[in-house]
Amino acid sequence: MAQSLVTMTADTVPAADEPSSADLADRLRRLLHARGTSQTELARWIGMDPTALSKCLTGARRWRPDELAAVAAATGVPLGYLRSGRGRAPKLEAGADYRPRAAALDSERRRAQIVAVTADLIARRGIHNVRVADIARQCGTSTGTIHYHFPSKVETLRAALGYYADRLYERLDREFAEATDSTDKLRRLVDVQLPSTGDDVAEWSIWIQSWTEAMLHPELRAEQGRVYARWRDTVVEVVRGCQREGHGPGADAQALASRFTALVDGLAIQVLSGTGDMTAARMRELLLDAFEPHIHLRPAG
Amino acid sequence: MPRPNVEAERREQILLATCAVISETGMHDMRLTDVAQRAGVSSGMVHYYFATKRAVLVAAFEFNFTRSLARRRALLESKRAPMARLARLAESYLPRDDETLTAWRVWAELWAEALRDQEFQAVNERLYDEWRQLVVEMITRAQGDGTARAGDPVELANMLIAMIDGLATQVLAHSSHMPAARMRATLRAFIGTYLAAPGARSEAPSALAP
Repeated sequence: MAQSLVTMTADTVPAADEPSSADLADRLRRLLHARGTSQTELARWIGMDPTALSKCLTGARRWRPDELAAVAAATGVPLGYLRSGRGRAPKLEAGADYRPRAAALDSERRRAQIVAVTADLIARRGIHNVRVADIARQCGTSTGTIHYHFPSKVETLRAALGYYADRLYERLDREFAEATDSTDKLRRLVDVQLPSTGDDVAEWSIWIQSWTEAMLHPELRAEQGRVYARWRDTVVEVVRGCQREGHGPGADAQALASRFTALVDGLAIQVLSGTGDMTAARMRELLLDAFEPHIHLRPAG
Repeated sequence: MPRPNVEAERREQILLATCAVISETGMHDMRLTDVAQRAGVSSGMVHYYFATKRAVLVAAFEFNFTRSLARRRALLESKRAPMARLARLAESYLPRDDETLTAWRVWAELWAEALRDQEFQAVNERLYDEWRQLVVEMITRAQGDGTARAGDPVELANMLIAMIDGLATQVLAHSSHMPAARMRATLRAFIGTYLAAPGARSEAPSALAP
């Protein structure tokens, strides 16, 4: 959910000459194939949420005009051709060693670097103790460049939130791919967000800061709500999976998700603010009870 | 009649104002002049009671906690069954009125600061300990009369406190999926189906009926 390189505009503005999504998706897939590029890679080049990109390619989401323009720029294909299939067509021989245009890539890399540095600084020092000059120094760039990417403090926190959300979902995707069934997925949900390592603690520091800042700054609430809704939906989805597999069929999945997410957050606050010797290991023990008496996560016996 | 303690009153006035300012602007953007203005006293007066911004913040976090318990004294000292008191206590933290809302926002600022500041971490731990002990005692009593499940009362208290904190945080951050009504329902279900002894379980404990 990287902050888009392209400007944020209202979602899904339909253009007058809207391209047929099927044809467009087909052109893009052939293009990616020819370039030897994955969807994830393209998403990273243009700073787009990989899930959103994937939805665009299946027709489940409409392209925003600025997103399509960024795709054209990064892949070196005329926007007109991308939209309509007419005009100067790109060479599509497979295997041609293609590199995205240097300018696009450099700018994207630079932005990714700035986001990573900023997210790390905010996580470790706290948003109020990070100055633009600190970020610029660590990135080896000017404060002007940082201001260009983050016009306000709220923007830096928004980017940090996106950076750590990506990190969480990358772990979650890997864990889910190995899960044997939905109950196993639920156990992995418990494990994947425990504040165990230094990086996990940094991630939690961002979540906690994003809540407190969202309480104070209404302009952060939409992003905070979006990140949280994705996490909550993931929990609801897995609980429903458990129910389909016969565990706690009568329970209210939404209610269980509310309980689990609240317990996770409240316990993490205890671990991170260092109260009562709460540790990640104890937190895990308590979370194994989170779905009782409906779904049992402890090994039987 | 004894003369009212002017010093104590003025101190309280300043701390009330500090909590109000923290909840509106956050502790980092809080200025002592805002506090003085809010309290209706001079900046010099604030400095007379508190030498530094940090000193007034520490005192305000403690004041916020003590006051939140004082507001619940009737509930805490009531003769109700322990489980019913526990359920009512949990529900009294729903961020419904301005006072509760302010108290939560101040508390949340303390958590965020306790992430990396040793002094605030110590304050947070002291207050949390006191709060935890109070909940532990209630759970122990409820276990004594057979209405709460068996288990380490400290861990059960940690879970209940985590539930309350986690739910309130979502309500306060204005997450659209967590209106106050859902916080209440989630708390009731947790207490009624998890914390209650197996023989005394229900989705909406009768103790919570209005």
